[in-house]
Amino acid sequence: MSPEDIKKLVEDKFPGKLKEGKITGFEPTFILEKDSLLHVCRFLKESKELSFDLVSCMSGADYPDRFEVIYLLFSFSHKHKMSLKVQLPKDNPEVESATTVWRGANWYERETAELYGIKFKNHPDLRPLLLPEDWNEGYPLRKDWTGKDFLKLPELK
Amino acid sequence: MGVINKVPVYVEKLPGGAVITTKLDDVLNYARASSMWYLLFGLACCAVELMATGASRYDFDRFGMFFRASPRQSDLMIVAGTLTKKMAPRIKRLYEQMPEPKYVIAMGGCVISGGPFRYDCYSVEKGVDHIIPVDVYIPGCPPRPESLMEGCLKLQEKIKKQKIQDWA
Amino acid sequence: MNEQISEIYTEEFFVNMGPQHPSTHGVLRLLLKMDGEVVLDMVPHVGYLHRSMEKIAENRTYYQYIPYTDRIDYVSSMFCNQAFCMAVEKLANVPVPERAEYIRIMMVELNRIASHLIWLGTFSLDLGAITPFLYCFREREKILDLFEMVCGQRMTFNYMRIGGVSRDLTPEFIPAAKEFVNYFLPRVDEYEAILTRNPIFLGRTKGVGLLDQKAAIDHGVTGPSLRGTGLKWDLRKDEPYSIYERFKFEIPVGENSDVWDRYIVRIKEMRESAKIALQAIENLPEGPIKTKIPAVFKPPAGEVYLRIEAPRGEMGFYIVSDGTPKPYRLKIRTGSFSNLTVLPMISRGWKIADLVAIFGSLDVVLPEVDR
Repeated sequence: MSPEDIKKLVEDKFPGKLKEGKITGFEPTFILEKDSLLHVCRFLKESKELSFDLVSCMSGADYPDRFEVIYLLFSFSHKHKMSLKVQLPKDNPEVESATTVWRGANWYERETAELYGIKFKNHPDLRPLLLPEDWNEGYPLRKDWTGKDFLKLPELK
Repeated sequence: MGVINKVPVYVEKLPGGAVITTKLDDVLNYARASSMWYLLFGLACCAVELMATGASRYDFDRFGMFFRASPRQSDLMIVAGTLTKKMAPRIKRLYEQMPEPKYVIAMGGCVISGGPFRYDCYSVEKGVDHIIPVDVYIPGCPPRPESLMEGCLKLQEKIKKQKIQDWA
Repeated sequence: MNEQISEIYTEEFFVNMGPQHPSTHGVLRLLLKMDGEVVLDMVPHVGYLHRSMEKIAENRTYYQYIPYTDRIDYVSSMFCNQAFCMAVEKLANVPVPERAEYIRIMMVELNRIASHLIWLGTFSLDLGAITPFLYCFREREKILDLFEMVCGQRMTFNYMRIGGVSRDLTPEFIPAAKEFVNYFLPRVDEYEAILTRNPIFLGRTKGVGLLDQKAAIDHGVTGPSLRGTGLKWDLRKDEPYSIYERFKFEIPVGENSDVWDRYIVRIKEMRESAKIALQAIENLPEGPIKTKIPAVFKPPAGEVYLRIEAPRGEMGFYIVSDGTPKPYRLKIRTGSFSNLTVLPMISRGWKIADLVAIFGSLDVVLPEVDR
């Protein structure tokens, strides 16, 4: 399906709930409200015309006013792709886990939870993935993070 | 006959053979320096160069260096690759498991000082010498097999200068 | 007699495999729940090589980050170079000259061979065959010689640039590369003669570690491990990037999705890669090798995700630019990360020696998992 067709199909199904974003290379892009995420994901996977079965990539991002979780989806059966974004507030970022829909999201969510401090509700196993077991210095990928022996690259003069 | 050519000896010919007089230091150091078995242990990029040094073209075996999979059987630990904070306690444990006398080669920029991962990095230990003592440093990112061999020869030189009373 | 047997029982116990273990190929720790020699369950622990690549990216300019991409997957650095440069080029609409495209494809395909050779060497070492390891490294050294000719480095090349490649081929490169390809193709037959029909090898690999295609897709498995399940999916063919549509090559697939199929897919891929490299050498056009871009390079604000077919599956870069010389956010998607998640599923019920074969067949490189 072409990006326009996917866009039309999804917008018809969820009228008024989606805003449009832009990720070059994975069009179309939708910005969702966080409550509707699981609902939309289920539809994207189970609908016959779309059947997105691969989470190609999943990422978090820290903006001055919000957190974002980005899902890049791909369908092997139809060979088309799209991307989703969820925007979360700065205080208490929390979103429904997509692991029940795509098992491939499991480790990506663990990584995002650990490095950004975004909570994924109903995740089967949200243990830290990459950082040491005794890590207690917060969420290092946040923009305002700083740690004990964290050195900034000195500016050249 | 190898020993006679390699260490300072006094040889006196007797009927039916010869008597050799030499220092115990020299014999022990010669034995230690010529069979440094290293721990088969790689962390990152440098480990691939370590593998390449052990494989066909460079052939580490000719220095008497051969990998052992267990720290209990090895004399030398080549710390090859980036040492992260999560891995640091494990390195210490491995070092402690090795029998004396033991030597450490720090291979590559990352284990010397953090290398390219020194700045803006929250998870890398800035040098392995905070954790275990190092005998020879080999710079490079990653060092070529030739420099690794040069480092091992330097370590052999160091071993040959050891005194037995230092180990007491 | 039967009563006696029923009294013999085993107790479940836990075994820690790694982070220092000769067959984990790096610093992976597997917590195994064993019943005798049978693996009942396992939990992979990763992160022993987490080098905060993504944090570093936010504090380096786009140029400065290219050497770091080498170290994401040091076994196939050219691919990381290419994926990053292509992502930035897409973001900023930088054209790449034709000659540079051909050189890039030549390099990545040679690198794919080198990467599969390392895999084949260590995989057969895990199964107890030492000879293939020495053979593989012999050929790999020849490829590294070629790389050294063009960029002076053996492993971390730092060869590609945004908008092209860093330097042109030396005059002696083309004949040397041609000679290598002609030398290499019969060598693959040599590896096959040692392994493919070897009864011990077959016993260790045939029917072991079955990977269901549906589950593989659900877990996000890509690359040769996915093609081993019979799915003909290769980004070079199905979503041609760079100039792959101009090359003739086959996509090898497996049938039974076991360890042996994943092995044979990679063996065949080495042959195809050699053919692609040869085509690139023969059709190499003259011309510039790099588009000139400003010294302070600021791509326009925007987001991009670009993926390529690396030896271990899909490698992708998600870059958010805010119009400054440094990326605002950079996320690296690697094949090994997703491929490793499938390991507990496919090794359940197999013996611990089979686990080594199964893990080897997935071709996981740890810095790709941890980054």
